[in-house]
Amino acid sequence: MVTSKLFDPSNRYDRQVRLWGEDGQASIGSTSACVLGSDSLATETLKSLVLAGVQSFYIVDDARVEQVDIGQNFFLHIDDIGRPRAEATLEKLTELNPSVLGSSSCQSPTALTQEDVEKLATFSVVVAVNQTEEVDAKFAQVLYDISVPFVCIKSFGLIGTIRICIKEHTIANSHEENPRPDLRLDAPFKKLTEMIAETDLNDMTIEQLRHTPYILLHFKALEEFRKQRNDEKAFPTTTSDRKEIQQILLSFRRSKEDSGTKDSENFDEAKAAVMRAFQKTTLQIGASVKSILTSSQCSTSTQPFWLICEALRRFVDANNGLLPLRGTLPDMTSDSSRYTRLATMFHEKALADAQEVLRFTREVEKERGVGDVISEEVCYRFCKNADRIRVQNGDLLDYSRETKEIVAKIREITVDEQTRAEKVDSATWMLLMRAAGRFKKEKGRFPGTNGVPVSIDAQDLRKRVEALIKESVKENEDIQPMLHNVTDSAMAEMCRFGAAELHVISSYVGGIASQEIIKLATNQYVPIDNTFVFDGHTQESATFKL
Amino acid sequence: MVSVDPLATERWRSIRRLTDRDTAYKVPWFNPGPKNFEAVQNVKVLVIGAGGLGCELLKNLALSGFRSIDVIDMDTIDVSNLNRQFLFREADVGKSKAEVAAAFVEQRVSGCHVTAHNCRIEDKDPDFYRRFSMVICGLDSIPARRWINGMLCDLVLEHADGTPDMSTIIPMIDGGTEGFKGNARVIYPKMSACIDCTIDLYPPQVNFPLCTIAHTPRLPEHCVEYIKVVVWPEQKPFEGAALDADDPEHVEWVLQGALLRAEKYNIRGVDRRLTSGVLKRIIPAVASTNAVIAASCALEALKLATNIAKPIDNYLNFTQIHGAYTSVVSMSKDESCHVCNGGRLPIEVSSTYTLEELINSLMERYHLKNPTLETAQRKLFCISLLFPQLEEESKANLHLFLKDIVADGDEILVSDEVLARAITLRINFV
Repeated sequence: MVTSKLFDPSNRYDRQVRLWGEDGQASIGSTSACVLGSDSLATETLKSLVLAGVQSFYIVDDARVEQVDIGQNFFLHIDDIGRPRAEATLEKLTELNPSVLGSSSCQSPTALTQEDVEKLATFSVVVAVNQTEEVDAKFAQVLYDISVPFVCIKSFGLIGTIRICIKEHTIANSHEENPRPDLRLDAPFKKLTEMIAETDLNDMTIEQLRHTPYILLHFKALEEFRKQRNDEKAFPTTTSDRKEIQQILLSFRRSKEDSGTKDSENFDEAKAAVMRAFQKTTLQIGASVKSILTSSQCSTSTQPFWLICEALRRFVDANNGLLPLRGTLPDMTSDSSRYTRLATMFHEKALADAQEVLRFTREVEKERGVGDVISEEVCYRFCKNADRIRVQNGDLLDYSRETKEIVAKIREITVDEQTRAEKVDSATWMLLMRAAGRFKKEKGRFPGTNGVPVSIDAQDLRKRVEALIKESVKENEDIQPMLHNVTDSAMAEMCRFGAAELHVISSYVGGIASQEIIKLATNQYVPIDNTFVFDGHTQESATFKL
Repeated sequence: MVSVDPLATERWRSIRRLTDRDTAYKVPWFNPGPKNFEAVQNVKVLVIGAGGLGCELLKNLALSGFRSIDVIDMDTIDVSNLNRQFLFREADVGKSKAEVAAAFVEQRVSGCHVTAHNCRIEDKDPDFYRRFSMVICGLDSIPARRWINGMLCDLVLEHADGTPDMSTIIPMIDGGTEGFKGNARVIYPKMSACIDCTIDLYPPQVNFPLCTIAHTPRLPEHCVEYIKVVVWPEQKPFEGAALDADDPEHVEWVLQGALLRAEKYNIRGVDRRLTSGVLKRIIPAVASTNAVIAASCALEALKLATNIAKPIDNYLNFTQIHGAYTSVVSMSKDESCHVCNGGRLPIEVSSTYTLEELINSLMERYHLKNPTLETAQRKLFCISLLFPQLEEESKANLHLFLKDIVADGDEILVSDEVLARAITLRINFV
């Protein structure tokens, strides 16, 4: 075992900090999670949050540990039978990470008063696990208006669902995959223009030509393109324009003396990059960013995200429709000095742009009467990811409105008979989940849980399905088209499940849910918007916005 | 009459709901009843790896009713494992992953027996692997995957008519994760797509060209590689010890060197995190992705053991950067796969085909690192510290035409560190 002065306890988080950065880790470290319920779905969700290093968690559940819990929940031991489940699981969860604070209450989530609920609204996030619709709705109502994210997670046999409830969620970095590099081909800044002017491909040795970074080759090709059209402002806009650029690039190549080949990595890279690189930057901000900058929140809110968005908007106005330069250069074949010169100038321009955004930010802060809320570091990071900002909006959780939407989807299902017999559509599972909840509310137990044959409980479940559909459609509307898509087999399957709490399903859904909670806490990556359904039969999932 | 739940106090009630009752969504040979759960309790399964996926797999299998689990892992616990390998604690740093994981699960899940093997998978012989009904892999290495894949394919016996003896087929469930992405697949050796059938799914490893590192560095990574590959062997610090990426003092030494080089070339971005990332080829990892993929794998294991639902066919992709998305595709068996088809691989070559061209094509096709090619009479190409005398001859042979080295119908054996077994090529000149 290596013990050295370089041993740093924060190394625990190294592998995850490489994904969401120290700032993301700091956000997680100031997150407090309130979890209603302590079954395996709840503990599997908590597991990943505790491991990730949240500040604290609080479990609310009046359940006592039973035999069946031992066969499902990893955070219980056979010796825990009879103990309050919230306490017993708490012990084993806090063990996972000594820096996380955990506590519990043996109250029943269903018995919480309005006052209790409001107290729990001081958490960063509230998670309701396999709670009744009444509990979900009660919490949703309170949390929606004060913008505390509320996540409802459920599982039933091989099915799992997650519903994320939040009025407005701002994302400072979506971590969009394969974004276009910000190379400013149509709007080079001063230092870049100077370097392009200094570059003469004809005045280079072959060695120098072959080590010319492709961004310079692109600019030279653009010069030629403009010369050929006798138009200083010309810029490729069609695929055939870009193909022309590719031809121009290839014409710049020179053969190597010994092998006679013109092949050269930098030219290959240049050609391959043309389609993506030659897109206009000015006045071409992506639609999502544009709508954020023009939203009413931007012009009035005092939330840090919106303050800096307003500053960004002013920057864009003052800079010919350009976002601050991102500042990173993709790697490309090049000699060291030219690549580092380019990398440095891009970096410095990005810093300068971020400084300008910071000046605007201070203006906005002053105008809106808040102190210096945004730090230079936050501003710099925000600017770097300016093309990656997103906002999600959601409606208040409302089961009857949402069932209408689900029933409408079920009506639209058109699959062949074989598929209908072999697979159950996600919308159908959602309706069946609700029907099972109704069944429990009305009969005091879930279908398939007391020895009554599945076929009989299926009849009773069907009654709840029909009722839900009827409530969701106009009076006298024919419900057969919907019922047709909620097959007897699917209803029987729900009864077969008998509210089974399969550990593997709890683990799967808990894993997904925990990362969604981390997305909400860090304002990085894009959360599910807003309903996720998982089917263990097919291991397929669907996402709905309800 | 009041109905009573027969499983009211049953520990394994949730699983019994599914094993004991019929379903319309079944595999044709499913017969509802408690025997399906007994099957789970009586089989022996092997978990390969006790790391991010392994810890989750052990938990999931134990809580799905499996009682005889073996786990194999040669690694020891590091503090950077603790953000996801939840069977380990700070006090366990330095100990064997397999042993600590096994002990933890045995203690936590009463009745579950987990046997640890603190060794490499290659240290076990076919008789070891033959004992298991299922192998579930949570590996972080492609060569290791290919190895176990090859082993399980080798265990499949054939009937006289050439068809596989189903009773010797040991299903392999394989999971992999990286950041917020992952995959899980079910392999029936010799029957369905194996690891080698789909080797192109794995992107080739990023290696920086030596000339860039030595002469035209651009990125902070190049600076680190330079110290590792050029400066360390030259200067032989720490009394000539080999560079150990897990030793913080070695990492510090490399970091200082890399910073100097970066300064010289005006390159930004060298820091300790980047340095250790390059040296250890670190793959970022979080608990949640491992939880999801291991759950996927264990769910398939449960399905195979109990028949409660249809297994996936056969390769699942998962990503959680934008929302959460999972999809299943059916990968096809490659009829020319040298691992799961056995026998010789016939290849057609022209009369102007050189040895170099053959080697390049094989390296690309099979993701080889440093192949050795030989015929029954001689070694055609072998660059190895064990046979330094062959290096010159091997390099000279590259330019030779194959027609001058072998005759039509001759066989060339190709071996490489990444291959589970050598490939036998039968050369046909066209």
